[in-house]
Amino acid sequence: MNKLLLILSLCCLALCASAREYGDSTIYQGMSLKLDIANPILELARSKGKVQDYEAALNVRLANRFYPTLELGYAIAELSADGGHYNGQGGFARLGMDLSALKKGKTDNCLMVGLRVGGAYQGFQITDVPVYDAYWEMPNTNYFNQHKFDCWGEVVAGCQVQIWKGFQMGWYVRLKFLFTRTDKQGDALPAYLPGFGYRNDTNWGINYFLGYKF
Amino acid sequence: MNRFPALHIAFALCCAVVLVACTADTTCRKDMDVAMVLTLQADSTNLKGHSVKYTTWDSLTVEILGDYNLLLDNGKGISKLPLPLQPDTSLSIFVMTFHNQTDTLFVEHTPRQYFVSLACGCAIYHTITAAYSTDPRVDSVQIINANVEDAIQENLCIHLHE
Repeated sequence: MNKLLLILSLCCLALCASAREYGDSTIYQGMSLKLDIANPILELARSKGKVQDYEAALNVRLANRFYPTLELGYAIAELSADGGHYNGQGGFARLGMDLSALKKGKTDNCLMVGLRVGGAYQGFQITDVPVYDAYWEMPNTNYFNQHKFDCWGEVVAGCQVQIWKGFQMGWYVRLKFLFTRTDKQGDALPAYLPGFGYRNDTNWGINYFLGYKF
Repeated sequence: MNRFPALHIAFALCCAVVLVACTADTTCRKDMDVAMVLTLQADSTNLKGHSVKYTTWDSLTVEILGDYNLLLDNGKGISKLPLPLQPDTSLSIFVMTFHNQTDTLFVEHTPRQYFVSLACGCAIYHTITAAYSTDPRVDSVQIINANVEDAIQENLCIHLHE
């Protein structure tokens, strides 16, 4: 508990020092609500709409430098491959912090780098799964009513610009690392993770946001 | 700073083009063959009285009891023998004939369905719980690796008497 208080105190001191460094004594300097338009359009081009990924982000501007961020979203995926047909949907959340990479903190346009921790919970089913055996002929199998929680970390970089009055646009490029990688029991695994993308150990992602600054 | 919005749109478009080109893999690229791999250890004495180790079979014929297809017909110089375990029962019985004598190998195992990926589907893995033979020439059947999860790793070794 003492350590937590110490860390919180150090964070407050860092925020105050940063605010003073940029010539502004106010720590809280507003918040932005952003909607992603990149992934719905990208998935229309990539999967012809069989994958739909929607997300929104809320970030708070502190001391002209720090942007604590909460991102929430929902995804639906319908995929087919040699190993079966996949249907899944679920929600995700990412929590993290961005840091303005520009020295001039007072400007509304900024380059940002940051970290995220994400989690997704989804329900899915995989049907018509072939059971491979080189010698014996096996009937196909199904996995119904499956649920799985997955967790990952992200390194993000992006920018945010003011386009008109309080309206903003911006993008993020994300490098994602899946923490929940393998299932030793051989249970069915979701092929698409909401907020993470297709199941791989690492993934790239992009967001293009339209937002409003309050 | 005037070019900042234009530059960031251009960069985002480049990233989008790259990401559209990356699609999920729908074809399996993993070797899905699963078989129990059997090896041989035999000690013998040659004409000069020296002890010689044999690790290969000659004139080996193998079939699964109850299945009329031969897995191997008069195979020569066999050092590793991959054998398919039954996916729906816990006992696989192999009839092996070598040097004109027939041996029956019993393998008790637990099969389990293993989901590999959406591109590959499922495989049947096994855990060997016991293995024994009826042949008096066989000294012992040693379980080297009880987990049968591919067709490469050695699982059983048959030790023959001198």
